[in-house]
Amino acid sequence: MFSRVSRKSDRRAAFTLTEVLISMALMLVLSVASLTGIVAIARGNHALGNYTVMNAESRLILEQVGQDVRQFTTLTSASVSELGGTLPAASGAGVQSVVYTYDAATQTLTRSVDGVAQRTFRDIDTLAFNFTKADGSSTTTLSMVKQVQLNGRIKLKLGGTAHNTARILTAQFTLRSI
Amino acid sequence: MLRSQKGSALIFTLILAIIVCSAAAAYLRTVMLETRLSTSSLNMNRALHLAEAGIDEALLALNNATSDSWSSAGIDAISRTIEHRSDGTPIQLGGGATGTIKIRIDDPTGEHPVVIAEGIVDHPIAGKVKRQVKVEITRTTESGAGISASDDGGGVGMGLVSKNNIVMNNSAYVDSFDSDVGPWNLNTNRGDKILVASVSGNIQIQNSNIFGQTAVGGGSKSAVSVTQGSLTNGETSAGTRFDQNLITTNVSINLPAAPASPTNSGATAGQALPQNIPNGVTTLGSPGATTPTYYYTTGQNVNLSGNAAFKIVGPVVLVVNGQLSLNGDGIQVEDSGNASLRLYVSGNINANGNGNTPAFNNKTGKANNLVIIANGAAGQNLAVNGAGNSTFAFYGPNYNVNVNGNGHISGSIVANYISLGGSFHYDHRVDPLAPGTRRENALTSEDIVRYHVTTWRELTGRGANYARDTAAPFN
Repeated sequence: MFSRVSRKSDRRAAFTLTEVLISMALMLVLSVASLTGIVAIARGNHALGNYTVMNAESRLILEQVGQDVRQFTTLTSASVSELGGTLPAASGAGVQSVVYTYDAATQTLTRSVDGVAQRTFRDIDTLAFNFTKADGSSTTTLSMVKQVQLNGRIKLKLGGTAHNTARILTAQFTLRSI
Repeated sequence: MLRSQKGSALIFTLILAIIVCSAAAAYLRTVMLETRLSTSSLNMNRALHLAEAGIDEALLALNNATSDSWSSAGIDAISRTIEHRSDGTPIQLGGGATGTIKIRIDDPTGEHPVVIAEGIVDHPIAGKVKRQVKVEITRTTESGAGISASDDGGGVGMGLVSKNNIVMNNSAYVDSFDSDVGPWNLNTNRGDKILVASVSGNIQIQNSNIFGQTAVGGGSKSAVSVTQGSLTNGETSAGTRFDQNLITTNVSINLPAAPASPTNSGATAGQALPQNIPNGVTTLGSPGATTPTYYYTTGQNVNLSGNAAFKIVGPVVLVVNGQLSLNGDGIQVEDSGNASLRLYVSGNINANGNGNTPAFNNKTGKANNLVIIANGAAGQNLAVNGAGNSTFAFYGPNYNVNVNGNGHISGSIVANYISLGGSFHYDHRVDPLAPGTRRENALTSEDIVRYHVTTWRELTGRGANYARDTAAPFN
């Protein structure tokens, strides 16, 4: 009798092959689902971080270019990838030159003061300076330029082949001091 | 064994919840950071725009001569703080933020006032943001040359401006020069800062060469035509004779009426000149004087014939209420004793000279020293024949100007219609945008005064040139 009961209880303690298979399948489905969710959350976090970085950078560019352009007393270069001018030197008399150069190969926008690179903005995918006359028509004739606009794109890697991009389109800054 | 596995679902759920919560917390932190950055960026922008509004307010006050009613605040300047709009409500920027504009004008009555404006944004969470902008302003006069050059499209000054057509025939050199350097010289004193502008007509360049810019108001570049001549400037690529880039097509220049002639009373009282100007030299002015001597002709039509001449030896204002004919030795402005002439004429002007000397013989070589203000009704003429080398600034928006002969005219012309038969050189020193001394005489109340910004800079606190202003009202 005892041995019968004992045998019966031994049989109950185990799982059948079907039970194990079903539970494994369920576990698999659940883990895949949760993993996908976690990966999505992580990617979202990464993207959010990217956008924060890009927003901060485009604000900096906007602010810096706007300030310089308004202060230019002469314009020394005006092309799609270069914007240069002179403005009163930070200290003392005279002027200093400020040149923005976009290098498509290294994807950088460099602000040089008196020929020395002073600040470099990275991960600039595309960038073009637009120059317009007072009537809004475009020109690159130095003496005719009255407004400057910057049109570009920042691109950061998200992982794999995916990227995050942010457009930088500034207002048409007026050359206030020319 | 089954009993011991009962809590696993709870643990599994808890772990999941912790993962989700920490992800959400990270999100929230990033969002809050981004919100703070956006708010501060927005407030920075708002502050800059408030400061810009302050600059505009100061310019408006200077142009309308109302800045002297601003509070002096115990400092040697005029300052103003705007915390309320005209309807008395605070400047509300939304989200509980309020704005304040502080302005100070240094040297408001001088030729180069300086305006410093500060925009302050007070945000309930982000706190206060202040930005300061400093602009240097130049005072120019309408007479002779100055209209605000911001209208001209190219950022250069004035030169030949007319309401209607401008016709050039055999004008070998139409360009600019700096009278502070000396007389015009093709090789050593020549620039391209001239503006040839016709507000509502066309510009015909025949056998003439413009080294500068043109502007028309009709919207079409075809209003500028070149027949056997050229339109170029220093930036024109080699080989191009008609540079289409040098045509602005939407120019809009408001040419105010010429200032009225002063009257022979009060501060402008002066000496009367006889009806018939005698032969020989009539000397006008007091050498070395700093204020002008006024002369009023009594005749309706003043005629200098034979060898009759006016010799200007000091600052002079000459008022002709009628027609002026210069058939003799004309008007000479000596290059000494602060000699300068401001000539008011209300009728036709015929400047023929006598073949030996030009009718307007300005020996100083500076157009500011011979300013002609022609304030007659529409249809009057300025005719300059046998011009020789004349230097003057002419302001007569109702007048039709005909310059014959192949001499060189230096200075500026603002008229209703311009026909030019010789070279014309625009004097940089009547360029309202060129910094430095433009006028040799003290300004008088006769001048129409206008202010415009010549330099703009933001006082960021970086470097001596950008040091923040901490004097009142910014303290």
